[in-house]
Amino acid sequence: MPPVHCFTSFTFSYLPRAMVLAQTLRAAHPDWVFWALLVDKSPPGYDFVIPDNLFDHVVYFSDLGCDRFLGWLFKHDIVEACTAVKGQMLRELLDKGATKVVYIDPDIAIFEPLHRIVELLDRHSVVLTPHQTEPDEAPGAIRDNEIASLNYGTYNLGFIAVKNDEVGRKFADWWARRLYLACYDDLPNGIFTDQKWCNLVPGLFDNVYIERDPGCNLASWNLSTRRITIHRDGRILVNGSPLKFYHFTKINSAGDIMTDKYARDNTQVYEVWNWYKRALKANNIDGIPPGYWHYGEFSNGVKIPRAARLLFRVREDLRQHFEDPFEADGNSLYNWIVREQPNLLGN
Amino acid sequence: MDYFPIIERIRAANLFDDNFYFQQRVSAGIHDFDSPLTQIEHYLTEGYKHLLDPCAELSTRSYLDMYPDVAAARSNPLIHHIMQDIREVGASDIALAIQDNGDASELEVMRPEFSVAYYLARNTDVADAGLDPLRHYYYTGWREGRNPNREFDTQYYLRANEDVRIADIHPFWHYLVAGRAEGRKARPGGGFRRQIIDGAREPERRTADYVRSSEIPLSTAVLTRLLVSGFKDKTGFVVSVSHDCYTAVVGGTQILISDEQKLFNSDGYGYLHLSPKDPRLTLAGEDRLFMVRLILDGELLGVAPLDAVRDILGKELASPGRSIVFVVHCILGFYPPDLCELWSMLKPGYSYYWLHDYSSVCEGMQLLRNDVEFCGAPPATSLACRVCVYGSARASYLASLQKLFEHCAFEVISPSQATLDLWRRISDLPHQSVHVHPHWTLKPKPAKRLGKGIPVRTDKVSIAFVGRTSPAKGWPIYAELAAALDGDSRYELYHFVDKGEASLPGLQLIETAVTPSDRDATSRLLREHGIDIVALLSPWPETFSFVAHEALLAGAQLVCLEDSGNVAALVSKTERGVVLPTPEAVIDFFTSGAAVARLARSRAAQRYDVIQSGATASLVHAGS
Repeated sequence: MPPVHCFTSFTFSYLPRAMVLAQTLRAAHPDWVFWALLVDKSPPGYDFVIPDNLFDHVVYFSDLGCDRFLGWLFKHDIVEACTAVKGQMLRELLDKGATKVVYIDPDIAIFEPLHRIVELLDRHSVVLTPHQTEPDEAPGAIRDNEIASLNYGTYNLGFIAVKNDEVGRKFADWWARRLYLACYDDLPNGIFTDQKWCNLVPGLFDNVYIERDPGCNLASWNLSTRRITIHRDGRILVNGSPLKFYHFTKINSAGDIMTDKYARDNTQVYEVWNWYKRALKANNIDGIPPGYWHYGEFSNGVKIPRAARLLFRVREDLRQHFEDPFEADGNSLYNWIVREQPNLLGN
Repeated sequence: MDYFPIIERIRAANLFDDNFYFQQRVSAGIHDFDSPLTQIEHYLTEGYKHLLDPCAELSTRSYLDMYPDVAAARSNPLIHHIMQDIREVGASDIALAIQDNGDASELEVMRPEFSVAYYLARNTDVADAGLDPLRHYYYTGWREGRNPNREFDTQYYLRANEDVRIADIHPFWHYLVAGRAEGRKARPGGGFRRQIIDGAREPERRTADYVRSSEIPLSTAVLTRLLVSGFKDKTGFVVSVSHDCYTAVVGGTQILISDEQKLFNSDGYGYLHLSPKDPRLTLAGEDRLFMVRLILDGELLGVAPLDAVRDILGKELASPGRSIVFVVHCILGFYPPDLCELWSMLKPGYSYYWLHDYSSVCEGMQLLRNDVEFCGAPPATSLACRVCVYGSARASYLASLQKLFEHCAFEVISPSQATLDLWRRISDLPHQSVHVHPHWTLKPKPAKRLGKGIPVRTDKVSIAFVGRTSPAKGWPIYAELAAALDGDSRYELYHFVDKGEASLPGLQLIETAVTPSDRDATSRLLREHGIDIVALLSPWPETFSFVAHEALLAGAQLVCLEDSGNVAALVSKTERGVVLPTPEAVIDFFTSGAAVARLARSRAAQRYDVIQSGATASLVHAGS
């Protein structure tokens, strides 16, 4: 049986998360081929070596042949960029002949093998997991969960599985082109990164399966209707189903608050949550500055404000003129901003 | 976000000028025509961070210079100005007038739900200074992270509610007038279990700050002389190991070892006890200079390398015909291959491994997953072990234990049948034989001495917790119980504990100290204070529990959990107490009055005699 290909997309600041994903994926699926897609360049002085061969392949997005790469990337902040590349990478892996491809966010950890997902791809072309699979009742939970999904997307694109058949390839091509077009955090225009586009997938494509297993994609946005139990035989169940993968979104920040808000007295959730925090600490890597992202700065080290990205996004003339908008010297976008729009830099 | 009350007061004090503020934003280049925030909302959330001023008369920068604590807390100076105690701030007359009115109203909102008793009990500095507790909390206590009652966690509320924190609104007042109705939570979820889980640490981190001893080791010559003379003319000798020094640390296992040593000595055996010089809660790594502390027949010899001790014992003492006994009371702190070498050198006629705890199964010797719940010792590769602080090293730990047990051919001794039954289910370590050998056996006194004629008491039911405030002993459950019974006239709550140990306000604190020379201290004090019920709430399978036996000796009944191992077994056997499934059921047992009803039926005390076993010494004696 040909191996399943799996990839994740991240920057160096998320490398510890990606390593925990890789370790837990290796434990569950030692036979899968795991790809790391880095939307970044190594921090100065940091020599990136694949830790313990956790990844089978490391690909830098800059090497993926994206059209007008730098100008396109500049339009995106870090979250937008890491999600915008997923479609192109999916298409690339299918083009290379992978029969089944799974994308998993770096802040996910795998607990049980995903055999059922693999089997689903025998019969379906695309498998998606919704943020919620049971209705909420409390007004606050409806706001935090269901209304949030109306805004940000029904399906969580921390996970998607695609089969290399006609529909799967059509989906991958459509998704890659849409994400090249607009993978932005732009709620007023109905767009939220790669995720909200996928609201259209069950309508646009045949043979899409919506996986509603509560053990899949457990996260703060569905904790209100899911309960973890840890059993004396060593299993961890979610509403009675084995925990497959947990999405530790925004851990050590807003995720802590939302988890507390919806786990409440389901204390086993905190046991799993705290384990992930310990795992991140154990995988911490010296040499990566906090919040580092190569494409977060101009070449002179000045942080690129979001306003500059938004301006570049809407100004075709600037995009035509400045092929490398990250460059700060000479006839550069940076110097143009200093001259014409200094307020964008906070000056 | 509800800024309304604050904004209303700022407007009333005429302390904000919209046009003045907007011009500053334009000049600073931080205006945003699409922002949904009003000018004053922008100042309250963002503008003050840019040191913009709310009006021409007030300077944000000057205010922060004047009040560095406000600057350090990144608080909004205008809100601070409006909310502050008038003596501290010295604000304008109009602001003072508004503030007085506002303070009075907000204080009255808080007053019904503010617990003066709770606040004073936990903030003795406030009590000592004679300050009004509500006003103290209102003005400064909340900024210092103090809580107004046991239900509201000030720091949590600010952490969980960014809008309240940013707007610098009093968190308790916000909760009472708005947050509670909006479904916001007063404290973190998970109760006492959450606190235990969040406090759980990997075993190597728990001992990382132990002070390392700097004692000078004994020279080989001195050590040889001491051991040779110590064992001279002895019919045999015992080498026992455990995780700490039994003459320096007081506890059940340590007292047991002391008894064992004395009995062996009285049988003509020399008794050498080895413990790691620097105790730890994990196995030690390979270290050719590994140092042990030596106690010979109850006297401290000093510290020496284990290698040297082993060589001396092997060369000088192990002669044919001499009875040699090797006893492992606890493996933690040792490097198992070292003990294999020691065993090989001794070639003991008897080798015992005691199940005082479950360190033969996991470094988490109480089998409490993340210190919170009995785990059942699932496979080391299980997900439950993955998420446990003791789980990551368990597979290699068990591999080490396997080699030790294969090498040493132990007879496994369990202090209770319940422990042995569990151990056989969860461990497949090789062994020669297994024995149940209780430290104490309680023998009921004849019925005619059962206190016949003692009238049924109708006064308060007295409940006691015995021991340190450890989660493994169920202290957090007892603390929950104490809170639930606060003000309940049916009960009196006690805490029996060594001098200097922590406790809780509101409990009757009884200092007790069991030592080898005063073994009856706890049971005697329990009886003297007329304790009806000992709440022995260990959430793990206790292997023996002296406290349970002491409680029964004192005539008390036991309340325990299903997972408490030999405690639950003891209750079932003696019918002196109740076994309950969960901590919640324990609390319900008392709050519902079931405890009172039970005591009304059987308050007269059953009396027992205690038969002490003498631990390993009696086993060897019986076998010889």
